[in-house]
Amino acid sequence: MNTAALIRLILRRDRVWQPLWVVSVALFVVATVATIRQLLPTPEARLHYAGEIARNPVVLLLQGPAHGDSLGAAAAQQRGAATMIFAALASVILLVKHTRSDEEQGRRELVGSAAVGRHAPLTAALIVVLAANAVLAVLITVVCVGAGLPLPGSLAWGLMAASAGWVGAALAAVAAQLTQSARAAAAVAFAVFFAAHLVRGVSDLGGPGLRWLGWLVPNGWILRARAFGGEQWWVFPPVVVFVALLVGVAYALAARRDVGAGLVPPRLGPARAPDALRGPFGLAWRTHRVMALSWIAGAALIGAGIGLGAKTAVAAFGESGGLDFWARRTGTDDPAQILFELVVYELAVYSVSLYAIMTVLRLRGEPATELLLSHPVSRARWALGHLLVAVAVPAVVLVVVGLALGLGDGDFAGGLALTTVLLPGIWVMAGLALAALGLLRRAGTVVGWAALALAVALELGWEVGLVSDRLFMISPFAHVHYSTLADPDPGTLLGLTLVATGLAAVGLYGLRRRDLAL
Amino acid sequence: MTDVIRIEGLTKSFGRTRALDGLDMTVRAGEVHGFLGPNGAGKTTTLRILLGLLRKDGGEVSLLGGDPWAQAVELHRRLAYVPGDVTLWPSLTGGETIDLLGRLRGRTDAGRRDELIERFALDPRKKARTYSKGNRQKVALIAALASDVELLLLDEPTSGLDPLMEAVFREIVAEERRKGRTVLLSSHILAEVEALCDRVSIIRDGRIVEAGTLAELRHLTRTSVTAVLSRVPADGLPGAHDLVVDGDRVRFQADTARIGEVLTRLTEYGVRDLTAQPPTLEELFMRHYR
Repeated sequence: MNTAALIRLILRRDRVWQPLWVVSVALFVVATVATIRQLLPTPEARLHYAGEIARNPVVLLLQGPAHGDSLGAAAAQQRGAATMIFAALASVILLVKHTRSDEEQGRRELVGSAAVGRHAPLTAALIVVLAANAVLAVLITVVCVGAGLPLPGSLAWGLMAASAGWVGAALAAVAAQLTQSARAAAAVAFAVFFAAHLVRGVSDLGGPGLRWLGWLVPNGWILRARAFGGEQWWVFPPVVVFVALLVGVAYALAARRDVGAGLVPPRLGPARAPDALRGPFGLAWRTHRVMALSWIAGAALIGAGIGLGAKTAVAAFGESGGLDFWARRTGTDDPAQILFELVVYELAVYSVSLYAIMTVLRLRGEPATELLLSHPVSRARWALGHLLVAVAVPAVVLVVVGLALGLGDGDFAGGLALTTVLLPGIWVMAGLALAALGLLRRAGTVVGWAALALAVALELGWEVGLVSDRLFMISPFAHVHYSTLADPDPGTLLGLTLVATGLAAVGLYGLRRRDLAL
Repeated sequence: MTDVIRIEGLTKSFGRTRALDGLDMTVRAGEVHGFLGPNGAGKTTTLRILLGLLRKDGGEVSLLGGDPWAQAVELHRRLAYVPGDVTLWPSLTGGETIDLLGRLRGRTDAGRRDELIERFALDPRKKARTYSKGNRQKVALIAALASDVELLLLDEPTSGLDPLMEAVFREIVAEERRKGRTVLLSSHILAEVEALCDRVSIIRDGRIVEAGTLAELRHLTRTSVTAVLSRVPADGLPGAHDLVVDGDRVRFQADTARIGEVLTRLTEYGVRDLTAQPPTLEELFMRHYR
């Protein structure tokens, strides 16, 4: 039972990632409070915001209702759900990393052969992830109080984020016992969490008649803690009980399965390859297809939701005058249209960029690279296979979203124009990731993600006026922006596409010249 | 005979570590060449340079008459490689992987593929993620052996195989040699190299310290002799090294080139029993590592 030693091992392996994600979420909270303070400076503006927000289905679905007109209430309404999702995502990834991934890589056997109890690795991973979320709760409380918000609401926000992380970790602990691979365990756990979040969203959309639906999922309990709006502390004990139950299930399942195997038995596959599986391009598609099809399906669903339900509601909110300050900042005279464009832009550009970067960076973690490249396959064709997926799938996703946006009012061309214009900006991010991978052996991955983080930081900074227009223009997204800052005419789009192509060419050239990190 | 691989003065450093330090090696067409050395001596680095996965720092490397870095893709059509640590695509089945690799190379022989799957007793319907190390190695071996190529580069190909499968592997390599294929077999399993290889190169700290046929290498070394004598040679035996006397039994090493002389001397002491063993590859190998 050397759990303590395993905990130290996890802390050593994650000495960068654990502090990084906790601090990132806390900084995100600080930035949100600052943004809201700028955007909605007066109680009247916030009251207006809180009153109008109830009518906005997209916001209700993704963020939940507002509970009051204070600064804290508005901030918690705006980004409370986002902190929950981020905490859950990080917890899922880290828990799976220290359980099933270790089994897949054979590290678990090495540890298991030492004087370590059967459940020690799961226990150690759970303790570390649950503790990290507790630290997150404290940190959020501290930064909120530091920003001048009342203590009870600050604590409630911190507990909301931490509870979501706990639920994510517990879901991951169960999923890790069931699936055949680590990747699938993480995907299943996070998908369940996000689905529960949407169930809660449907409940909030449906009004009092559907309130019971929100009580079916822990996400509903957590979001009804009403931070800064008459906190309801009693929602947290049930979350703890729920987490404890899930963890109990995980241990019970763990005792019934073998190391490295899920409880869902592996199925036999075909003995011969289908005709499509030939060459680096067929292989790249096979590698990415489950993920790609999931993204396209998810994009279709969310796009249709916005197109069918939310478009008019968003427009009504935009016209209500609640965002006049912010409309001036973006330089528009039509707040309704700009709010809709903002919703589409923020939903699409960062998530699809995330997909594109993730797809390019698969080149680094590809398992059988050495074997593949000992065949008559040039490095360029190998990389192009993955790059093609990273270029084409975002295009499909944005076209699907664009078409889905038109479902409500039949304005398909308008929807398409709104989404497809983002594409060259996303391509630049993919090209940048490839260039970093080509020029740098190990730091390539970090550079790819850091570029996206920088773009998000510039965007947030620009929204509150901390970042000048000029500085913001170094982000590719500033050039396809919803505000009048951008001028996405064909020349701009062509220019961005050329930049993306140039970066990709640099990446391919670099990949050809350097030693492979095998 | 032409040389399939010719390496002269090859150097390669990783940061401050010098992995290859002036390595010379020649592999002739049609031979099975053993590449011997302990972990970390530079075997895998040499193979990866031959494959164009790593770039050499200095020296000359010629592979099938071409430059392995600049002409990697063309040369790869004519060779097949089995990595020492085989990783596969986890969601592909073994059969799919073998077909994919065959199609990448262009020339596949479906009959040969099925025969090899049968001989290696591989279930091609299982996903690669469920395969053990030995089974992953089998997948890579089958894909390599089913291809119609001139040169096989095998990096410790049997390290995960059970003795039964290792025997199958030896049979197949022997068949390949009869067909005239060239094989470079990196290994630290000395019995395997002894059974299969025409010539060997022994690597130590990034240099070749010994190369040649087994007979040539043996000639340079000593034969171990054990004898039971009537009389014990009290003041030593000229030509015998490391003499150990244990009752009426003596053990010693003799220079293989002077073995006749030593045996003549030995008869003076009344030989009742005698065994003489040529040096095993292990002894040849250990000579460089003690």
